[in-house]
Amino acid sequence: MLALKSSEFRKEREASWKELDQLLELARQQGIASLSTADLRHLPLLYRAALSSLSVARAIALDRALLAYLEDLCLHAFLTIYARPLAVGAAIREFLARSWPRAVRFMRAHVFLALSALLLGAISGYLLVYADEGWYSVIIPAGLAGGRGPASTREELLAILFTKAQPGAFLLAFANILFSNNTLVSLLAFGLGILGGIPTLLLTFGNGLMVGAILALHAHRGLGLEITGWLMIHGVTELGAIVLFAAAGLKLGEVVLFPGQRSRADALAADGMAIGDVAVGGVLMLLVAAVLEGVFRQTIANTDGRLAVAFATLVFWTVYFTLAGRRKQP
Amino acid sequence: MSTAPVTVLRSERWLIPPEGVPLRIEIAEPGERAAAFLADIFISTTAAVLILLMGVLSAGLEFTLPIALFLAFLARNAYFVFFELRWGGATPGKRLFGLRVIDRRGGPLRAGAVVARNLTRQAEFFFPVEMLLVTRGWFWSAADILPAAVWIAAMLGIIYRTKDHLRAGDLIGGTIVISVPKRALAEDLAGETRAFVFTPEQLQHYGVKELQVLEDVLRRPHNQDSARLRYEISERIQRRIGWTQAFRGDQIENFLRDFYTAQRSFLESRKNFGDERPDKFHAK
Repeated sequence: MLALKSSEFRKEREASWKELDQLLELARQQGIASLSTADLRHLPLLYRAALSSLSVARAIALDRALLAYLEDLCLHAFLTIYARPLAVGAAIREFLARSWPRAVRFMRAHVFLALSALLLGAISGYLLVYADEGWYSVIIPAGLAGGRGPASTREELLAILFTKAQPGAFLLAFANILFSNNTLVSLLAFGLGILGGIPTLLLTFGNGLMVGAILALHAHRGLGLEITGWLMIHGVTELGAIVLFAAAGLKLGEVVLFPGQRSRADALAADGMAIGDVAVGGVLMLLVAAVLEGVFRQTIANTDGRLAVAFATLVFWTVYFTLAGRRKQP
Repeated sequence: MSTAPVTVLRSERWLIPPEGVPLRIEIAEPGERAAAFLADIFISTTAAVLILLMGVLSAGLEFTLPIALFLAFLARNAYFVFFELRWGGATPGKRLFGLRVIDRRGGPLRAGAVVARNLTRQAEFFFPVEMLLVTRGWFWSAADILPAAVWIAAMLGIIYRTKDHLRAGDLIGGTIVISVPKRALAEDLAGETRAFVFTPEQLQHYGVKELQVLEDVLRRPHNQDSARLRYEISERIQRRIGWTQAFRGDQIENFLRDFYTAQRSFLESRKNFGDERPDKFHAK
């Protein structure tokens, strides 16, 4: 009379649960690649059987330990099968070849907005300082001026533009990323996007102002081309990174302010991937810029070479962001 | 085999896998995550220090502070990204505490999401902490501490205000951290002994909740406390169901087990007939 359905059910299926359990443990300890072909073929079958056991148990069993065990077993199996370890190399390739350029194109409106803010800042800075060098010290804080200012002579500026490389510059170049003003501006532009985008645009504009001011100071002394080469050999990439961070920040602000029909967390989850990809790409660009600044600028000590590299990076990034990853995934 | 307590204290969510059977997931508590994070920081910092020492000893480079900080930056970011990619959303610290990062919508974990959630940590946590390390005077002034404190408070606020305890990195990466403890299959308490027989009337009194409380009590390890608890519960059950036959003290365990088996059998068959009895108030 006391034939417990749930007990019989458990006796009948327990062996297959244990088998799944062992496979999962093996996969956890030695990686899923260590399973034999037969085991691999068996795993999804056992997983589906466990899921069906779980459904049945939820319907008929009142044994809490049994239910908890099955919940856990199914979740572990689900994670083993669906949240598989990723090959780092393949992930990097996928990111460079598809995700990043696609994410940048996805928010091209934001990129153009950020770029406009930067250019507008640069033009304003240039015009202001070109007309009256008194603006220079207003725009550029003393800490960032690097000894250059309205009082500098042409010779002093030239000396800075063509300094000799120091030994060990390569690693130091990377190291300096962390302490560079542009990294701070990038991260702030991104982070402050959450405040609706206005601080992001202001920061980008302000950064443009500084670039324009430096250009104007040198242009006054007949060093326009020289400073362009000195700045832009890495500046194209570095300012590009700032623009990307700012665009990601603007998108972030847009999602937070106008999530539409979705909850904010859902809206962020949907667009967050693209935002994250663009920001991660920005970090890569900062690294590239550091190499260009720390190594190439020191070794290429002439303006023509620097301008050529600057132009090449400009063409490269433009082509890359407009064309890469357009093909449909096979 | 351990009979770990099966009581769930974390908040639960449902995740729908492609197979369509909803799976229960437990959101990791902020405390567990902090513990896992500290373990990870300990491991990665130790590794970074070792790398630094090896660098200084072998290369003879001028290991200036910027370079040291840069290597530390690499170590702590590469560490998290590498393990979360290779171990499918776990780091050594997370594995220690039974935590996993998964995609919030039940899909596969993306590499971009892993990188994004870990790089965000840089801005969320490390920058404000580094700000705290720098002082302008000989001691920290309010102006030194305030910005970092506000920053950290805002980030903690996000974790506690979002309903799934998401940190900013999780929001951007579309991820969630869950707890996946490993539970062993405990023995089936419904035994074969039939020393005590109960009538259907005697089984009318309790519902599923009481049954599962009894299950928990029976699964407790034997000691003085649990013996007293079993004694009290058996007394209460006897009174409630009108049990009149006296039995010896060493039979309490058998009585409770038999009652558990009979009650579960009864409730399961009622449930089959669509008469679910969640607790003892089902009759009212």
